[in-house]
Amino acid sequence: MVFNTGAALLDAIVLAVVSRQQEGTYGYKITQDVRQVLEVSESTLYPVLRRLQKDSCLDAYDMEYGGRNRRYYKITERGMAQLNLYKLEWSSYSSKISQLFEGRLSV
Amino acid sequence: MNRQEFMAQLERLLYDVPEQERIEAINYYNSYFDDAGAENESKVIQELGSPGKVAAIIKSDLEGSGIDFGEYTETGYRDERFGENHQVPEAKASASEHEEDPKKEESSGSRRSGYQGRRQRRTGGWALIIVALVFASPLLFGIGGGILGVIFGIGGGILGGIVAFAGGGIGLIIGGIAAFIAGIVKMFVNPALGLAATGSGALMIAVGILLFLAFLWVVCKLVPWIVRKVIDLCRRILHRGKGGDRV
Repeated sequence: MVFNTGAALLDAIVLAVVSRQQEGTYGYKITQDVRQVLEVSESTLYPVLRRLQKDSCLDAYDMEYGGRNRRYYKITERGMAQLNLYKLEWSSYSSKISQLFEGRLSV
Repeated sequence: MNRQEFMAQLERLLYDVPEQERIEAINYYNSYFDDAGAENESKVIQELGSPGKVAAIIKSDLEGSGIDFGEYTETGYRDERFGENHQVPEAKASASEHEEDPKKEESSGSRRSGYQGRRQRRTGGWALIIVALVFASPLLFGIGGGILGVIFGIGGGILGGIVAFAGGGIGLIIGGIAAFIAGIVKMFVNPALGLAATGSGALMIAVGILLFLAFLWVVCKLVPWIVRKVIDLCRRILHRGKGGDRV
C-alpha cells in the first residue's frame, strides 16, 4: 500500500476487528486479523490496544486457555460509539475522495 | 535471540515505565508468544523487531499520548525516532533517543525563532538608537536647534526678499504712476520740473514692473524648484533609511 495509515484509522481498524468477536478476542489474533487488511508491524498494536483500553473503548479481562491466562479484549459501548463515529467519518472521507477520483465531484 | 532473551531484554528496557504498565506489556508479549506457538517464535521475534524498538514504541505511547509522531506505512509503523538504523539496544540509548526528539522539534522551530531573533535584534538596534538620542539630546538639540534656526533664517530671508520684490515693485509702480501724473500736472506750471517728474515717474514704473516681474518669476519658477529640491532631499534621506533596511 502506498497510503499511510494514521493513528485514528488504526484505532478504527482495531475497534472494528475486536467488535466482530462478540465474546472477545486476544492480542495475537487481533494482530493477525489486522494484518489481513493492513500491513502493520506486530509491535505497533500493543500500544493501540493499551490506549483503547485506557480510553474505555475496550474492556480487557483474563480467561484461562490451555492451562494459562489469556488476555481478552472486548469492545465497550463507548468503543462502539467511537467506532460508529469513525465509520461515519470514513464513509464521508472516502466517498469524497472516490468522487474526486472518478470525476463526479462538482467543485 | 530466543524468546527468553527477548523478553528479559524488553523487561530491562521498560525499567523506567510505571510498574503496572511494565507488567501489562510483559504479560501481553508473553501471551503473544504463547498464542503464536513455539514454531513461530523466531518469526515473531523477527516481526516485532528488536526489544529496543518494542520498548521505545511502548514508551512513546505512554509519554506522548495524543501526539502522533509516526505513521503506519506499508512496511509497518514508521517513526523516525525508532528507525532500525538508530536502534535502541540499551536503556541508556533509548533515553537519549527521547531527548533527541524535542531537539528535532526545536530545530524546525528554531528556524522560525531565528528569523524572529533577527527581527528582534533589529528592533533592539532601534531601541539603542533611541536611547542614544535621548542621552545625546542636549547636544543634539543645541546643534539641531542651530541648524533649524539657520534653515528658518535663510527661508525667512528668501521669503522676505521675495515679498520685498513684490512690495517694492508694486510701490514703485504706484509711486511712478503718481509721479507721472503729478509731472503732467506740474508741466503746465513748470515744464522742466514737470518733465523731470514725469520722467522719474516713468523710470519708477519701469523698475517697479521689472521688480514685479522678478517677483513673479521667483514665485512661479524658483519656489516650485526649491520645493521640488527640498522634497527630493527628504525623499532621498528616507529612502536611504529604507535601503539600509533592505540590506
